[in-house]
Amino acid sequence: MTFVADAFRPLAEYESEALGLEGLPLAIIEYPIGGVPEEVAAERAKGAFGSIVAGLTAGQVRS
Amino acid sequence: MTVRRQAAGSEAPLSFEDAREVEERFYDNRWTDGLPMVTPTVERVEEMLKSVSRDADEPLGRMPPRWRPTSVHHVAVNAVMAGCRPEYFPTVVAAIEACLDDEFNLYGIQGTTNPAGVMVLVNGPARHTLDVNSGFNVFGQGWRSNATIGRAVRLCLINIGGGLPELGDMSTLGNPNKFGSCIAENEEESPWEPFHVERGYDADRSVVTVAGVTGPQNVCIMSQDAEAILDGIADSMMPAGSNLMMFTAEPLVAIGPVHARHLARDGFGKAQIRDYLWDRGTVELASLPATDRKTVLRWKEPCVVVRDGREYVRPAVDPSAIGIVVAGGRSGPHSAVLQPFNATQLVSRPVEDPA
Repeated sequence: MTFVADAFRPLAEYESEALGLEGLPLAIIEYPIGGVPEEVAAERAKGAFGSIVAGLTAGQVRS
Repeated sequence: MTVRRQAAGSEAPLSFEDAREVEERFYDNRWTDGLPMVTPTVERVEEMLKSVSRDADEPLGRMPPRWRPTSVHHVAVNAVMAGCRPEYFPTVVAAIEACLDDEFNLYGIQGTTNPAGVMVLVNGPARHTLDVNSGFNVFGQGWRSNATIGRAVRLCLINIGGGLPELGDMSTLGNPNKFGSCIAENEEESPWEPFHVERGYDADRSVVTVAGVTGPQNVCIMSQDAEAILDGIADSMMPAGSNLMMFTAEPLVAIGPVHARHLARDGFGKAQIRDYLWDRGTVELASLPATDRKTVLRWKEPCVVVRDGREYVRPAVDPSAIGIVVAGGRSGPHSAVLQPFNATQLVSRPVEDPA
């Protein structure tokens, strides 16, 4: 699985399909990431945790 | 009418009823840049391939973000579509090889939200044999070689690399140069060594260099004083919001012949110009908003220098990272800074002599 900012989800799916990894589990994080306050970044990291676990243990996930 | 499809997959030639159907189908399938194109018939592609000594199926690498295998044949199809004459093709192939070098960071350039695209610089005899403009209106319209070599590279990025807006090309704004950008260095008007000779090539060798840059930011300095000219260029290296404020990539500075003459008269060679821009083109970190300061310290830390207890950021890691070419017409006090993207380096490749 991999992390993807939601704005780049189309690129991630386009590229993973091209690499033969269609359906690759994606932990989708709200964009933008750069420049957000640390507490917001920490909040998003916490929010992504469940998606990561699910992605590593099941199919594609959405956070 | 028979056309060989350029993308991976079916290698069987496609057939169409007439030229109009070809144009519409290519546009509908997103195989163009939006402009009309030259139909890549089997005959035209074969004629293009005859201008290089290489095998049509020779692999050149995988092109991001679709990571499709890129062959000489694939490049030839796109060169035909762009309107290239066959004699331009060795230059296009060399440019694509340069783009596929990891140092160029094509994946980043293709997928970024940044407006950066690919600019091709031509040095050496090919400038004359192909009539690549290096003079008046060098970044503008009017020359078939400049227009179609640049466009051929862009069509490769679309059709082989998959650089489709909103899918493989996430650029928020783009820039007009993304239709294609190709210039030649004005070696005749330059008081200094040509760019490719600085990089170790013989002067009589044709060389292309690719730059992952935004459009040229013009710097108009009316003064004939060398330091005033360089101060103007230095101030244009890192304006607020510029790529160089964030990235360690290699910028390209195009010095107009008028400025070049004044600089040479006052004893400046390319090395001294680089040193000057590197030293004076700095910005004090305290002058930046807090978020920008943090970005500089994280992304451009190798360029941060402390003077008298105050932190400054330089435009590049080292003066040698600043690319300098002489380009443009003989009149007018203009130069330009081209802002590079992310970790993109300037990458050069020799052009095969005409077959």
